[in-house]
Amino acid sequence: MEPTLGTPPRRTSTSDHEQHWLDRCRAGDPDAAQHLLRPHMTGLMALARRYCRDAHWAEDLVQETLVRAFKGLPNFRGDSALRTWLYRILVRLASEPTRWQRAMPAQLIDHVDIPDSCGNVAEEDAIARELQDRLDEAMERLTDRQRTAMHLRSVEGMDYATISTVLSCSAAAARMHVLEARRKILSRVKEHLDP
Amino acid sequence: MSHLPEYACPRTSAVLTVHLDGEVLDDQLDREEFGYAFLCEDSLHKHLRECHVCQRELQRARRLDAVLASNAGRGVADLALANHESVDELANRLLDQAKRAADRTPAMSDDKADDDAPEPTLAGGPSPRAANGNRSGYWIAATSLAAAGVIAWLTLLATPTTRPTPNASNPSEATEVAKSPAQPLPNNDQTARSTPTANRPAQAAVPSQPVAPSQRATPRQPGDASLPSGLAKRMRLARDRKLSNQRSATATELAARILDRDANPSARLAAARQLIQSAKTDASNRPQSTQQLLGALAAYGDLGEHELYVHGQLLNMLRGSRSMQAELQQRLLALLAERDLQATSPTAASTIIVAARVGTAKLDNALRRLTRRHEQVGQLIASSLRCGARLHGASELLLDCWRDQVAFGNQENTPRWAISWFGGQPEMLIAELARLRQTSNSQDARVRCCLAMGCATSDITLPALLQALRSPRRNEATAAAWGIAMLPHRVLKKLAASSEAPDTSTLRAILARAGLPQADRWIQHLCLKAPQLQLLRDGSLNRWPEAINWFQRGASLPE
Repeated sequence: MEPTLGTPPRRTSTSDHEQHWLDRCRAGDPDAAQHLLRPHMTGLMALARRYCRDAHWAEDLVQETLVRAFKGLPNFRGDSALRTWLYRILVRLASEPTRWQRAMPAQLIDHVDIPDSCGNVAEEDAIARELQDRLDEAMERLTDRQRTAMHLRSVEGMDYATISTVLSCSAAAARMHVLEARRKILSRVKEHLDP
Repeated sequence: MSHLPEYACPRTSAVLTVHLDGEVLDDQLDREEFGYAFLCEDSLHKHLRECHVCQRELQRARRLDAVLASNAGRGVADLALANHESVDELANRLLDQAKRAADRTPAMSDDKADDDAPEPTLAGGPSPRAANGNRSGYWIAATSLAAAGVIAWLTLLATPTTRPTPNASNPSEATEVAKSPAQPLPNNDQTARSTPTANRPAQAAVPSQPVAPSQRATPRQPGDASLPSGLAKRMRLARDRKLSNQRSATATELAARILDRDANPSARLAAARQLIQSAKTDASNRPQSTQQLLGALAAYGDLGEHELYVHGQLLNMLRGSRSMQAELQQRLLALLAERDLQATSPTAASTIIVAARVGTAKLDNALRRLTRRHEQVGQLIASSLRCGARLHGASELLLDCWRDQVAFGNQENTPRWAISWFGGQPEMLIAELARLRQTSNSQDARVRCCLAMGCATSDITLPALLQALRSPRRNEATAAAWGIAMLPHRVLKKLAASSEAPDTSTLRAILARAGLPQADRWIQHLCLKAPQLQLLRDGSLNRWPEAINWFQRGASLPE
């Protein structure tokens, strides 16, 4: 069975499907870990993107998260959902960039690879992009915890209890982070959101 | 867009919590914490039907969630696009790379896994284990530190570093010291004054004689003890003369001494220190001293390496003086109230220039507010930073001011404004832009960074601009192409060889725009007419993609 990308189902503890692959992973199946991690890749990349504007660093962050997940998966007890565990690794790593940030690859000026076209976005998308850019800017001004809480709530649809587990705080604090983040963002982009 | 103030409703947060999040607060403790204990869902439903403010905010919040969700997908797509691959390919590649990296290192033990990838007890559990673990760790660390402090204190108490000073009010102790043969009584005043404090009680018994002020010895300074007494005395006298000179010098003289390029740097720093001290302690002279100091510091213009060092030291003094920073901030805030800044120009200018160079967070905020109020302040800030006296945070301040002006509609994200802000700025300031572009989530900010990086006079920003050229955002990539074309010819010559390769139309357009002789044959090949050439060479940023398109279309023609 080929694993597919997509939004994983919302669960608060390990599902039967995950448990099945976890058992196989513990039994030494080399492909089991990939089956377990693959459905969460989009979510991990989206969250990493919220932390790192630079694509190179976002990739580094996801990759380091995956490396740690591969290593820790055989010992994963399954007390919580796999997704919660993965997001928690990413959030913890994101707070310590020195553990995963590598130096930017130096570009030799003599051997430049310059693209033949400038940008891939069509002009028609410009108006839609404007709101998204302003939203990005507003998100950038939030604290790390507020940004993460808002992302997990709005994009991943996590409940406050799960967000609190990812952020290592109480559910009330997670709720407060989301409320505050929403208030700050709305104060910046409210005109764009009115019909 | 209406500029009327929007009314807020105290129940909006509760309405959003219940209606948007869909999670009714079931715990009484939670309700009390959020102040909703007095509200029930029915009353909130009723309130929502009647309150237009809450309806509007709920609508906005729902749209916000929708846009955020779509935005996240776009972020992932951009991530993949940056490497010219699909999301699936990117996911596969990352998984494979991570698996290979994990295979190279041994699997984590339970402890290590807990440290690096802590597994939560249960989603929604009342208190995460790691958080408690951290808290207990803090307690242990704090207790250990406190214990170590107490031990160190007790050790210090037990081993005195100097001889204990006998208390003169204690007769028995004083008598014992006086009787001690190892401590002879001083026989004259000079000896008595230079004798350690342990002999003071005995000295009290000796009849004292009045001493002339000229005979009084200056208190010894550390380090004097190792010098011969004659040399030490001469040094003390020189120091005293210097100090008395400085005390008697007026603020104007001190300011002149600061600016004197032939004077010893330490004397110039001492003069600045004197002015700061005078402004701090003498309330009557504060305005004059401050103004003279600011005037002297603002007078620094084009600096050589030596002067830059001295100026840096002078600014460090100001950074270390809270009173001066408060004074600067107060002056900037006072300028906010001015209707016309021209009227107070000399005073205002020196304050703004020095505040921009000192560069603390509070001063930067005050400067930004001032720039919003008075547009012309922006250019004054930009000029004041051209001397290179401030390295960190300068480009951020300029970008923020520029952004504010764009938001007010006074300026635009165009090369013209990039040059007015960043033209002639020091290399370090321009180089900082590469980092700011990488960490900014705002497309407009990245466009501004790209245009500003084009103001470099060396190839310091070229790698960052080439990277920006690969951006999937057309605005950013176009601005990066423009920024590269703004670089000096000696930098662009390094790229000329690459333009010979196929599918390098963007690079050819850049070289042609810059007017590099190597690009002439590409222009001839395209057979551009005079108006097109005019557009290529002198056109605006808006028409720049059009010029790039000519090269792209032309590149596909048979040569």
